Amino acid sequence: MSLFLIYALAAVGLFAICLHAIITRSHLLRKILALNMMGSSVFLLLIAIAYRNSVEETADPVPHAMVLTGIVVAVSATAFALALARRYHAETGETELSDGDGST
Amino acid sequence: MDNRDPLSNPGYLVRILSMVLSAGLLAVLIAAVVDLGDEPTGLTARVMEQIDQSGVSHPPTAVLLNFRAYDTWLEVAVLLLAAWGALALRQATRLPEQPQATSAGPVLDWLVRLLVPLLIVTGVYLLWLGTNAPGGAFQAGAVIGAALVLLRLSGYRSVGLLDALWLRGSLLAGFAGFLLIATVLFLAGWTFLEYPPDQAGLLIVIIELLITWTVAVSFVALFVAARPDPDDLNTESEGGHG
Repeated sequence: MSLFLIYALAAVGLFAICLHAIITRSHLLRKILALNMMGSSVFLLLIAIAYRNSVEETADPVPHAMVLTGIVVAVSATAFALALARRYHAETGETELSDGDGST
Repeated sequence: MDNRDPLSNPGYLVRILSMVLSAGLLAVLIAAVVDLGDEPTGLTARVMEQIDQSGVSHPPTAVLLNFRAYDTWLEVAVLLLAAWGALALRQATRLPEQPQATSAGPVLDWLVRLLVPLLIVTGVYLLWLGTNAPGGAFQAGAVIGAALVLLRLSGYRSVGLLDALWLRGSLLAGFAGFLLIATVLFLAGWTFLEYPPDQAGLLIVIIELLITWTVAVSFVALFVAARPDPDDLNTESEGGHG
């Protein structure tokens, strides 16, 4: 098993766990954290691909660049989600989205 | 964990369905990743071929600000939307200063005076480094943003000094600067978001400077907008905004 495959499999495993968490966890903070971790798993995969595609010690700059900006975008999207959650909490006093019928 | 109210728990059916969905997706993704194999297939060689025309010598910077400038431009737009959205949620047009409860104390005071100049120098260094080594606008923006957050937390005046116009201008700078340069070059006969190889280095540094400031101010705006007490921001902005 190559180094690329180890990291890539870890990334897809993390992605699947986070998807499960987003669906089943009802607390907004847990959902936001799961979404953030989901993004991190994609970064892990992109870095693994950059490593796989490296030519003479130079990692593939295309996925590399995507991760660089992606991290900043993920931080700001998470912060925006947290601001939304805070506002929701201030308006309703709830930390969970109302489901209407008691399920997702 | 969530059993204070059994009715709000997703039922077992949802859990099982979610597990099946996640496991199914996992199987597909594993197959996809294994199918990718170990052979390099990326664009490394093509980037290295063209890098002399990009105006910078660090491959990721060349990709970010030249070859895939379109992606970066729109990522700056996402950043702008997130920061603007967070401010809109608080109905704020400017960032109020942290009300200084007590004296910061000599140790914190000394540390802030030591760290903030160091962080700013590090940020500018990272920005400059981006043209030929790992570094660049996003990293520099994050470091300078951290310096601004530190200033805020320890009760110094910083981003609260920006009035509504300057705050919006700062959030817009990266996106607008990118667009302006691309438009001017487009009217001069180049493809949209393509730079003349001779001036590419200078243009990239100008865009990176603007992005750095935008990233730094956006981080502080998001940090402030996610602050625990929602009411004080509204009352403070009501004075000028109504």
